[in-house]
Amino acid sequence: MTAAYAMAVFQSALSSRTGVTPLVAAVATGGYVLVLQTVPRRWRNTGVPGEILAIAGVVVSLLAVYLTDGANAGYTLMVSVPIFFAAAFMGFRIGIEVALMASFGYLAIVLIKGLTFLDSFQGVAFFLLVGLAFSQARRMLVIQRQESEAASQLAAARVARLEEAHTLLVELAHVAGTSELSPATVGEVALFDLAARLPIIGGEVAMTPDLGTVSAWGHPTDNGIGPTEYPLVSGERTVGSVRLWPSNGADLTEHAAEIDDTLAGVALAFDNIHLLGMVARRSVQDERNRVARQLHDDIGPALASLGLVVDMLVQTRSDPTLTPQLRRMRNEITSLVERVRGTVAALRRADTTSVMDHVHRIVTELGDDAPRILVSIDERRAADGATAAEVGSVLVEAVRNAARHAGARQIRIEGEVDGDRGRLMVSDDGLGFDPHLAYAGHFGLIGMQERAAAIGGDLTVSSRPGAGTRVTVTWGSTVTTPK
Amino acid sequence: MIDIVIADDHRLMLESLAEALNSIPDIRVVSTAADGTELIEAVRRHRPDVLLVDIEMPQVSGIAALRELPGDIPAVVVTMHTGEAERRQAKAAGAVGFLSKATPLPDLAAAVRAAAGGETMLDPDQIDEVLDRHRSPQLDAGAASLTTREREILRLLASGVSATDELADQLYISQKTVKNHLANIYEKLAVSDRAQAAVEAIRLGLHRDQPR
Repeated sequence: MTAAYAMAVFQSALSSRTGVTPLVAAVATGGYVLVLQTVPRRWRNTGVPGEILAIAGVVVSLLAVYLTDGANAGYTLMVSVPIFFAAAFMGFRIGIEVALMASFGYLAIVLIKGLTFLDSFQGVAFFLLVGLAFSQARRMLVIQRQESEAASQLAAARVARLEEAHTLLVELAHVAGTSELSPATVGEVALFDLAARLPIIGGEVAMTPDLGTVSAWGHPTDNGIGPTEYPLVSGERTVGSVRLWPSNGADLTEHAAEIDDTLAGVALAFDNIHLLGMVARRSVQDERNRVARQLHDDIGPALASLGLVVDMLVQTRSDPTLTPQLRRMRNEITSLVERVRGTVAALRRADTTSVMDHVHRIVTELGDDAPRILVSIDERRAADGATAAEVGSVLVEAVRNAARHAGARQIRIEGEVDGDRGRLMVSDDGLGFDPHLAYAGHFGLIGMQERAAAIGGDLTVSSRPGAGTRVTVTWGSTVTTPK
Repeated sequence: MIDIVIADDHRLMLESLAEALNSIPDIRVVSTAADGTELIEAVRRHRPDVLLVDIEMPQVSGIAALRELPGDIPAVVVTMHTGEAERRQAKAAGAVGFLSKATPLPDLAAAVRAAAGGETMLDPDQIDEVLDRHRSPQLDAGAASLTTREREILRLLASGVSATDELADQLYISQKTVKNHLANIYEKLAVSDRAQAAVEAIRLGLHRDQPR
């Protein structure tokens, strides 16, 4: 484009007037165009060098106009070249500045040379138009580029986040399958670690809000010195606490750094267990909803319509010998549809209280003067709400008996729950009793047995006077022990 | 004759319900609907006597449709839901009955008759009692006034016995008496020959009457 301009300028310069002045104008503008062509693009289009070049261009062009008395349209056009560069490559402000400068310069020439007003007006309007049009075009291009850059950055960030999440999920899936994430194991390892390094005679690890005490070690009541309690904090959340009983005369504050190190790991593990539980509960709920929807929307109505077809067969009595079978079939279908209805209702019931929730309730209800309760339950897949409620009631009764009647100092609640199967034990170090004596039927044992039977389970009580009591409730087929 | 409209989004269920209820002599399915909007449209067009409505349907649910409709047409909800919440919702929307989709055809027919007669079947404890009172078809005045002997003749006609002498032989009556009975039957059922009488008897379900 600039080459074409140079040609035009030369041509017009040669063809207009005679003398030296037009030639000077032609050489000056042609020289400017050559300079513009040779200067590297990054200087020409940006910053101070670009501004200087644009202003120089305006000055040179106006000079050419002046020298040729404005008689040559080529030079007037030439003024718009630097305006175009400034507007298109350096933005609105500089473009308009250069355009205004050119306009004032041009007006000055018009005044000095006494040219007509119309010419000057057209010239000024043209310069401003070039400045405006190209700076506007540039702005649109810049905005577009910014938008597409932002979009690609967003996409890249999203991919990066997904990759991170995926890595995390893979690791979690791996960790979730190991015993590292059993609260009891975590607690035991931590206490064992602390006991080896610190002057302590006992400790307890508790996890909140799901569980109470999960692990305990030592005989903390021996020396009568109270424990020091350390909260387990992960991020913003308190996920449990650890209580440590110092040995006689020992000062645990000296070991604050070591304790902090160990407890940070425990806090992180507990938080992970909590988060995993949330993820598992949510996916279980989603799956339940999906199954419920299919049963409700399709399988149930399809069965019901089958029932109506059988009803019509009975009604027409095409073959009376078949009537008894058809009626039996109808009854079967009716009860099937009713069972589907019941299953849909059970799946949709908001009550997804787990066995763990019930245990947590038991622990919090007992209060401070209660015996120490150690909980170690591996609830891999939550039992359905009804089963969890029955099992929870059995546990409540067993714990109450141990606390109120047996005078126990320590109660353990342990076992496994895996969906519709499970085995849980409540054992205490209390008085115990002779199961063969008549009062063995007291303490709500019959009630507990009925509750166990209601979920198709089994309840056994083993006890001897002076040797504590153990209540075991089992339901579903036997649970395989992990590890 | 009770005109009903059935609404259910499950195609097979809808077709089976319509076919089954159409086989009941005193019930006629005038239209079916696959969602609440279609139900409202069908009710406006056909002005049925009773509605059988599913709760969960696309776009406009059965409950929403019932709220929209004027309350003068009794509606029985037939649903897969068991919940007390759904029952209360149905009741609040103006439904007169709340039945399971497992309900057998004779009970459904009884429910339609009960609803047409202004009864309610919302309380699970009372449903059976209400249904029991509506087990037999409601016949037109003419059909209802048929005598035992006239019903016997109709049953024979429906089973293919149509000659006067055969009818007389089977019932141990004279041919003259058979003709008298037939004349009465024609009048009561508003028909003009034996073939039409037989068809009407089958439609009304009279051919299924147990002898004695």
